[in-house]
Amino acid sequence: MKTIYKGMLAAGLALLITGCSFTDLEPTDKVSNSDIFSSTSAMEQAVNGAYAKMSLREIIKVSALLSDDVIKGGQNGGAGDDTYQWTYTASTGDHNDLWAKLYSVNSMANRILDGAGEVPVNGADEQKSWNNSIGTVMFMRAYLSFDLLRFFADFEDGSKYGIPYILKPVILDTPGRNTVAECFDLIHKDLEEAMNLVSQDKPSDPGYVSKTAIKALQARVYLYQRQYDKAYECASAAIQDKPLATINNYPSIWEEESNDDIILKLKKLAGEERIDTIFFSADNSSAFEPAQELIDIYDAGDIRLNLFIGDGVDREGVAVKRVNKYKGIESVGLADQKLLRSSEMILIMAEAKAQTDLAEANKLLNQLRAERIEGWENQTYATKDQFIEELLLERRRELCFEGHRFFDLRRYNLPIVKPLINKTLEVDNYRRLQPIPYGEMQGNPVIAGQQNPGY
Amino acid sequence: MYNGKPGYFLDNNDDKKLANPDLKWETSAQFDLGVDVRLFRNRLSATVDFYNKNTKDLLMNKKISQTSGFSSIQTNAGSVRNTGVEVAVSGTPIRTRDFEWSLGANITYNKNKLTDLGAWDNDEHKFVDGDVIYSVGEALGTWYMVEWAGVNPDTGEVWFNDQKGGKTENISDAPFVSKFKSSEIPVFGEFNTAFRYKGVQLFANFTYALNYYIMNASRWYLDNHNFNGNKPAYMLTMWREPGDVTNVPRFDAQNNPSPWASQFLEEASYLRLKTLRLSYSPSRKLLDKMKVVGSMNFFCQGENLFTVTNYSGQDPEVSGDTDYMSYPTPITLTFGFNVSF
Repeated sequence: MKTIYKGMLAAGLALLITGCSFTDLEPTDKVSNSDIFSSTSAMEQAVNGAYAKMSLREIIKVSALLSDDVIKGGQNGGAGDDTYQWTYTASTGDHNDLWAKLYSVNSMANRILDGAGEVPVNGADEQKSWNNSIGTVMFMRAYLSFDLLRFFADFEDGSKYGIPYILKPVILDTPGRNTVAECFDLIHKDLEEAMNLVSQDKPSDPGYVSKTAIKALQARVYLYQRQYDKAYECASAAIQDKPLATINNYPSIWEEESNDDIILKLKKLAGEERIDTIFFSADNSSAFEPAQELIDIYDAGDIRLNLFIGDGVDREGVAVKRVNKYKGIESVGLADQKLLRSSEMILIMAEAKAQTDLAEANKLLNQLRAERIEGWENQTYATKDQFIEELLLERRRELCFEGHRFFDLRRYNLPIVKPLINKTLEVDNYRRLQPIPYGEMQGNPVIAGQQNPGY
Repeated sequence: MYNGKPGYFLDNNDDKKLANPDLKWETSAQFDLGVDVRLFRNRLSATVDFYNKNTKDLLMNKKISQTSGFSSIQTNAGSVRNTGVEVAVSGTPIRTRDFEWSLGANITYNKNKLTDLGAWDNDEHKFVDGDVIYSVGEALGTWYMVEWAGVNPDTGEVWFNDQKGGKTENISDAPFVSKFKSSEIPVFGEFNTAFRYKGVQLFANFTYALNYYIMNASRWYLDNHNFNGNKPAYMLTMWREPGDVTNVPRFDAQNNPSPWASQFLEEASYLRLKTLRLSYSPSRKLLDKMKVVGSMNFFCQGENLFTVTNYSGQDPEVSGDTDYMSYPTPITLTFGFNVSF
C-alpha cells in the first residue's frame, strides 16, 4: 500500500513540475483581437462579418407595419401588432429589436475602426485593401445611423434630439443623444471620408460598397434635410454611374438574375435570412398582406404590379394577395436585399427639381414611368402641389416595401390612414417617432432622461 | 459568411459576452444554530434551526447601453441576506404490533433582504430591472409596476391607480409602485402522514408554499384579443357599452389590454398533495411459503394528485418569477412491483 502512495505522489509531483501547457487549447470558434488585426486580409474578413450581419429585414418590417401599405393576414397570431396598431410603448414593440440590431452592427464597424491602427500594411495592394475596409465600415456607420435617426428622431428639426452617434467601441459608457443637426453632420463626415477610401468607383459588384453607393446615400440624406441642390447633384452623379433599368430588364432584377438598377445590395445565399417571410411564411401562413389602397394606385400596364404583388392562397385556403417583391428564387426563397437603387435616385432628382424647375421635374418623372408602364404617354403636372402628390404616389409604387413609405408620409406631414382597422396616425401624434427602447434606458441613465415626448 | 466568403463576427453572435476582467466568484458566509430534541424513546423528535446567510459579490448581469452591441455585462453586484428558521417535527402517535401511525411536518420561514446594491448602486439605492426592483432593505424579486385598477364602466378603457386616491386611463400618469410583495417564497414546507396495518401502508405527503406573487404572463396573450387563438370564457364579458362593469376592456382600447401593469400579477400560494402511495408487502411467513428469499412489494402511487390554489394559471409552482406558458407539473400514476431474490 505504501509503495502505491509513493508512486502516486511521485507522479503528481512530476505533473506539477512539467506544468500542463498541452492542456492549453484555443477555442476553435472564437478569435482574439490580435488575430483579427494581424493582417489586412484578416481585417477584410472582419468587414465581411459586418456585411453578413447587416440586414434590411427589421427596417423593412417596422416601416411597412407602421405605414399604410399592409393589412393583417388571416394567420397573424399577434406578431407585430403593437407596431401595426401604433400602440407601442418604450418597453413593448418592434423598435426594441430595431435599435439593438442596428447598433450591434454599428458596434462591429467601430471595433474594426478601433483596431485598424494595429494592422500591418505592406505595399500598395494592402494599403488599398486597408483603405477600402475603413471606407466600407464608415459607410456602414453612416447608413445605420441614418436609419436609426429617421426612426427615432424628428429629423425635420436640427435642434431636437437625434440618436447617439457612436464613433468608438462602447462598453460601460452611457452616450447621450446628439442633436439631429450633429447627426447629419457626422453622417456626411463619414460619407465624405469614405468617398476617398473605398476602392470600387462604380458598382461592378453591387454586393460591396462603391463610390456610387456613397453618392446615392448622400442623395437620400440630403433629400431628408431638404437640401435639394445637393440631393440633385449626388443623385445625378449616382445615376451617371449606374443608369436606370429599362422596362425590358426590370423584371429580371426581382428574379435575382440581373444587377440592373442596383447600386448596393446585401447578398444572401440559400439558407440565409429571408425578407419575404415577414409577410408570408413557407407554410402559407399569411401574417401581412398588401393593402388594397396600394394595389389600386398601379395603372393598367404597370409592370410593377405583378412583380411586387401576386396572388396566393393562405393556410386556410383563402385566396389572398401577397407581397412578392422578395420572393426571389422561389424554391429557396433567395432574394438579395436591395439597399440603394437607381430608381430611387431619379425620384430624388424629380423631387429636388420640383422645388425650382417643374418642367425638368416632369421630364424626370416621365423618364421613370416610361420604363415602368407599358404604352406610357407623358403627363405634365401644372402645379408643384399636384406634382408632389403624383411623385409621392410614384415613390409608393416603385419603392414599396423598401422602407420609404412611412418616412415619405412623415416628410410631407401627412396622416397615415388604415381604413381596415379604422385608425389614423395624425400628424401631431407622438407615436410618429419610435420610443427609445426601455432596455437602452435601463443600461444608460443619460439617455433615460432624453426620451421622446409622450412616452 | 458573406457572399460565400468567410467573415468574423465582432459582436454578440451566438450569445458571446463582453469580457469582464474583474469578475470573481460569489462568496457566502452562513451562521447556523439549531436544537435537536428526541423524546419518548424516539417516538417524537423535533428540530429547530436558525440560520443567517450573507452572500456577497452576487453574480448579476448589469445592463449596459445597447450601443455597445450588447445589452448586459456580468458583474459582481451587491449582497443579499437570507435569514430564517426551519422547524421540523415528526412523531409516531400510535405504535402497536400490527398498526402504526406516524406524522411529520416541517416549515421554513425565510426572510430575504438585499443588503447592498454594489455595482448597481446609485443615489436612491434602488435599481429597476424590467418589472422588478432591487431596493436595499427589500426582498429580491420585489415586483415594481403600475397598479391596475380595473376597467372604467363609462368608457371601457383600462384604469390605472394614480396613487393619489384616484384612477386614470393614461398609463403615463400612473406611477410605478412596489407595493406588491415579491416572487421570493417566505413560507414553505411539507407535512406527511403514514398509516401501516400489518403489510399494508398508506403514505401521503403534502407540500406548500405561501405568500408570494408571480406574473401570470400567459395571460398577456390569452387575455389579449389582438392575439389569435382560443380565449378564456371570461372574455365574453368584454365591455360593450357605458354602464358595463367588467374586468375585460373594450375591443379597441387605447392601451394594449396587457400593458406592464399589475393586472396579471397573482398570488401563487398553494397546497399540493405531492405523493400518495399505497403499498403492500407480504409478511415473512407468506414470503417463505412463496419460496421468496428476499422481499416483495406491490405499490401504486400518485404524484401531484391535486393542488389547492387561487392562482389562475396552469401551475403555481414555476421556476423563476414568471409563468409564461410553462409546462405544468403532470399528475403521475405509477403502479409497481418490486421483488428481490
